[in-house]
Amino acid sequence: MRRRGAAFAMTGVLCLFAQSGPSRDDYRAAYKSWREADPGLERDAGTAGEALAPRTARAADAAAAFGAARGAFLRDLSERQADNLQWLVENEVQPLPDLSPAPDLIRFTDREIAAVGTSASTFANVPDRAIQQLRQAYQREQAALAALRAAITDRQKAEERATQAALAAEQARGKALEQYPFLASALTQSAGLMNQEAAAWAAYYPALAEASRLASSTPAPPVSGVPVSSDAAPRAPSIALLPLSRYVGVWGFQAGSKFFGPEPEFVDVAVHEENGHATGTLYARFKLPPGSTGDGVLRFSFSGDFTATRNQSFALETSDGAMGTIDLIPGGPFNVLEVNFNTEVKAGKIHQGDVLLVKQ
Amino acid sequence: MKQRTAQWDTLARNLDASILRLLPCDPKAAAAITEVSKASDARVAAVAAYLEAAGRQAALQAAAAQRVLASVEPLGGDLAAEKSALAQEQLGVAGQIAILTDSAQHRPSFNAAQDTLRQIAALEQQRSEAVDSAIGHDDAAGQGVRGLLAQLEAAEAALKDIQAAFAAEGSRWSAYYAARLTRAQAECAAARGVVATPARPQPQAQPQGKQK
Repeated sequence: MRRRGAAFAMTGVLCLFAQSGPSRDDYRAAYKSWREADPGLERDAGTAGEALAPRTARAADAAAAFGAARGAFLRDLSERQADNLQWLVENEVQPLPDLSPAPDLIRFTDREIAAVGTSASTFANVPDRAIQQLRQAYQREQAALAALRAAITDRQKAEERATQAALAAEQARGKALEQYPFLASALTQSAGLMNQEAAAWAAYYPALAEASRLASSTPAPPVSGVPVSSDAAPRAPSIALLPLSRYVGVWGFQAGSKFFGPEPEFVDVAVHEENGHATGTLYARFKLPPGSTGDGVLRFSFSGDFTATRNQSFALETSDGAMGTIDLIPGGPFNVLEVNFNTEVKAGKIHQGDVLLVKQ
Repeated sequence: MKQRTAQWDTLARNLDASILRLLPCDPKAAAAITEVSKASDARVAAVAAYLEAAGRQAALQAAAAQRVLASVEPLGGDLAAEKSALAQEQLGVAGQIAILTDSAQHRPSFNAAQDTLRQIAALEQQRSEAVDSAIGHDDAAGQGVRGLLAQLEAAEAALKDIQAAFAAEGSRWSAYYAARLTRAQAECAAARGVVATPARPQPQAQPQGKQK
């Protein structure tokens, strides 16, 4: 923290606090416009084929407009609080320096009052007029010293009040600083997540258009709409020793489930199979040790062929280019999958983990 | 200010010793007292100027804290609105996932789109958790800023008191040195056996012993 030499130090303040900025109404209007533009898009995706493309393009534009407005609002909210935090960090409250040490001056006045008083009393009984005038001069000086002493004492009391207020202000600043970083960080995180979400929406609509185009030339499987989350579900071709439904699907980490290595906050794994070939993604966030500056978020995709073994092992590549392997190990219960992964070690990144997931 | 204080301190400290060496009517005595008095005035003026600058800074700091508070106080409402807006957005995505799951009918070509929607849902969940965290710290942060502002205002008021008290002290120092000079003149008169006539009232003037 920067120290200021001057009392009640102040930094240049505040073009920081302008309250005008992106409004909530802006993004609400963009959201409404987006959501009301084509509510049947997903419903029609299964049948529309190439005709869906212009609709998805319009929806993508509307989603982008919403994402921009929403992101701007969250950034503004976050930046204002970040500015406040910076002001709190920089503006240490310091008591006044001791400009004119009152105790020394009070000692001086006390000493002089005593000396002058002694001199005055020495001449108390001398009738000479000149001496009496001198005695009166001593008495006037004594009175002036007493008034000075009282003024110094008053000023000392005001200084004590100012010092106490400055110390209390500094304590209050410390209290605010205990909480403010969390507040500002949460808002910054929220704005960052919104950026990621906007990017995901930008990817979603082209993927939907492409899916619809491909689907129009691919008939739906004979049994549809039935989840593959139980042994009663239709089984995929038996490429592996176990039914593919023991690997394929969407899996998630539940609080309290077993894990080895870093503790997950959440883990989402999706595994797909097509013609004996597996593709999938893992998206997870792990708790980091206190004080760690690492990145607890991990994303990777994986792929490979299913083999005639119980445990399936696939090559993975993380979102920042690290390579590794993932093992899918069917659990005892049919709806449990153990996921074990290892990647190349990169500083500050999660590179290994082992978690039990439950089918979603 | 430090220089003025040091000059005055040195002169004041040596005043009695230097006068003691002089005869009662030596003009150097009055000159020495006048010199200390002027140094005292200069010191008082320098400290007063410093206090005035500190007072201005304290006022600016309190005003800045007021602006921080004005920015923090509505945040609770903002965060509640944020939570509500986010819940609506989450509902929208959940609806899209459900409808797309139905219309995709397990066709692999939809996997990427479905995965992306799930990723969006996960991002929104994290955003919701971030807002919860902000809500959890908002009250305490606001209380801290309110406390800071109250104490900065108290400090600013106390500084004004110091300025007023120091101004009063400054005039008392002047009065003291005037009395000290009068005493020196009375000592001279007494040494000569001269009686001064009562001084006529003279506004702002130091009492001057009129010699017969």
